[in-house]
Amino acid sequence: MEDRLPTLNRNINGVIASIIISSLLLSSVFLQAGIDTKRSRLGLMTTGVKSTVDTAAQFLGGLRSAVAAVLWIKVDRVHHAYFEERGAGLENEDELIPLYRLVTWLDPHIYEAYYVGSYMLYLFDRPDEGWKFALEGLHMNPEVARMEFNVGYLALIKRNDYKYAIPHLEQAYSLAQDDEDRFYVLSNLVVAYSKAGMAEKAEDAKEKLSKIANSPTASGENDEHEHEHEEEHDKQPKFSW
Amino acid sequence: MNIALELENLAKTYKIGWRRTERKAVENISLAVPSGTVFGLLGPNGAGKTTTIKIAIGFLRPDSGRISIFGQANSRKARSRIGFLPEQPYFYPHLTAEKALDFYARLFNMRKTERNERVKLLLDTVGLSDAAKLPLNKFSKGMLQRFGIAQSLVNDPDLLIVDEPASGLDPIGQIEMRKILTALNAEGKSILLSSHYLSEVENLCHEVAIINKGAVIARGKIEKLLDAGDSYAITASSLPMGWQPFTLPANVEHVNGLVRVVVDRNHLDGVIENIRSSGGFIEGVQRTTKTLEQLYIEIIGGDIHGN
Amino acid sequence: MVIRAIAGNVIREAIRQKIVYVTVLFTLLLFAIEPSIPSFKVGLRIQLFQDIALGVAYIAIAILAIALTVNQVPGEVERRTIYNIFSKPVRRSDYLIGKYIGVLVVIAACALIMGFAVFGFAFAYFGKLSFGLFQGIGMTVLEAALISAFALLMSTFVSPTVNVFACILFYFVGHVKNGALTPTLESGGASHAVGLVLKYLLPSLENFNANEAIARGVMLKSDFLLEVFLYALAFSAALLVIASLSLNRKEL
Repeated sequence: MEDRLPTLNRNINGVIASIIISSLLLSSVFLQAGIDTKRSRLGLMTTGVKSTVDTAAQFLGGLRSAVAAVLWIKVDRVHHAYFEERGAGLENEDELIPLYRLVTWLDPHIYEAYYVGSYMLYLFDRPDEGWKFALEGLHMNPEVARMEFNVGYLALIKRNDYKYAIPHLEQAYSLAQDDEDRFYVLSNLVVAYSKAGMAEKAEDAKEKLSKIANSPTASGENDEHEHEHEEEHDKQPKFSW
Repeated sequence: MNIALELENLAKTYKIGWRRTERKAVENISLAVPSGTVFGLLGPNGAGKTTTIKIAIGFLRPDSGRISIFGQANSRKARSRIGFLPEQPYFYPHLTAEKALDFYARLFNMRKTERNERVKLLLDTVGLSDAAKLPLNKFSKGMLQRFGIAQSLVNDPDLLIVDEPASGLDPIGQIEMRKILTALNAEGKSILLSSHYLSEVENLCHEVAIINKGAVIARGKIEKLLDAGDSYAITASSLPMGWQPFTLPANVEHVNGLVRVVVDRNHLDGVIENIRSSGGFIEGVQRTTKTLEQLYIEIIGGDIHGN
Repeated sequence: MVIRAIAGNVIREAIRQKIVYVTVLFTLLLFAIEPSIPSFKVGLRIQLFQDIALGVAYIAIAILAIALTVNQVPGEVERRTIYNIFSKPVRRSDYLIGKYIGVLVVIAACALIMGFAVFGFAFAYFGKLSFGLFQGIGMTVLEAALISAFALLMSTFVSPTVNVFACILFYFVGHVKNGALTPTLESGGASHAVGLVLKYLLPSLENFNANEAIARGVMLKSDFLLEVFLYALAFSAALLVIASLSLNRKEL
């Protein structure tokens, strides 16, 4: 009996340890559920994007978004260089498209990459990809007015789906931070409401638009902003921050 | 008599490598260290001495057998009465002797004042008071061994287990180590000493167990083990050249005018009479003993030759 | 007392290790030269600076956690200093907790230095007091705590070299787990169940990565921080209990 005591003690300790381990792991499951919700609210969940690159990119941990930001700086500079040399046109801009994709894989919260990238995809006759890219941008950045505007704008102008565009533009309007932002959203809302035969709403939007246009803070006429989404034949106002 | 440490039928098999090849380290080892004695574990390298000690302290789990420390199973409480000096001990090199001893004292939950007193006393005991502020990486081998003894005494243990304490020490170091251990035993501490230094064991130990190939092959009080049996050595002078006793068997040696005759108990009186009648003078009669070396070679050497 | 003594010894040993100083100094140097990275928009420079700085600290602290922990147990076994400890009435679990706390104190101290450095540089370069940075550094320490607990568990039965690879794998799996498991979780049947088990059984290190939000200037709420802290505590404790069991079974 005496010889068996140490073995018995070890077995009891093993059972106690197993209970402790199970309880700790179980509590971590409950905690994880709460953490997931809060991370999602913070826009930190990246589970939606599925790709090998994304999986590999997560390995970079905290450096991932930093790498994305550095890459975005370069992409954005090249992009601006094309615009500044208007004469050169946009024919080489498609070379940047994979880089927009890469930036968003690395950090899906650099929404400018979605914004410019989705438009470029349309421009280079890849409308389905452009649309998916815009939707992904909105999915990853649901609280960002520009992503709502982007989907609404592309639905209205490129897909001619004003019914789909209206709720997104309305959401963009509610998320917009200042009059300048609201100005661009309203311009598109006026068109969308008119196309949908919602004359009253269109009038209301026009009224809001003229108020903003007349206010000293409005910057529609003298903006020095970037030229994303500008397309002469669309005669659409620019949406820029 | 109280028993400080008792090992009963210990067996341990190591499993080596990926194939888990089994190698028996100790097999059916039993021994008892009586309180207040120095008990020697003697055996060649790889005999199983260190494995036995590791099992006794609880570093290894035996496959079978029982360990009792002052009548208790090996537990934290039992271990608080033990001091241990491993073979070729190594300590945190950047700590000073004082800081390192303080660290070991903290493992016994000693209070600061108690620790300070104990550290001072121990450094004094092992003759390292002057090196108290010296980092251990500046210590010589002998100093480190003495520091090792100090750390094993930090809890004032009743049983001290020392594994090859003289290993790597020069003769002076070995003598110093022996002095320290003798003094500790004189204080009443029981000591289990593992060694392959025969003189160390012979001089220090009251009892000894000789281990070879994981098994105890001889065990007992050292005088008994070294007792050559019922034989006596008679030393005589003034005997004529080439003198031989009339009684045989007897070993006779002529050295420097003296004659040394070794006989058994039955022939002792006859040979003494024979020497006297031959005009010889009895210088002395002594019961003969073996040296530990003789015994060791007899036991282990026979086994080596057997292989 | 025993735990404190062992932790104290770990700290004393750690402050003698060059890797601690090299990692911290290299990280501070990176913070200092960071503003030379070109920025792409006015107003976003501080965000980018903070994002990169937190990212660098994140990696540096993870490296420190691995480097300081992997050799704690094998080093003592190899040098046989462990015999002088376990021959005394020291519980093996206490020994591990002491080692763990010691490593965490060193990591936390290094993290605090890095935190003050980023905070100071952010103020010096951009004139902004970004207290949120300390939240990011705190989250990083929590991740390091989990990595250390894992490294300590592994150190009870593998060599330091194998342990380093195991820790890198742990870091990798801990970060990619959520993304990699998404297809499995979206499928049905048995693979969904397997995905769920893996999702909850493997720790999610992404929980501790809020750098991007912090860089944006978001102050994390205390309930979120508490949950993340408890998550790290629960997982680390589970790993340490397993480590204790493993060390108890270990023959020295």
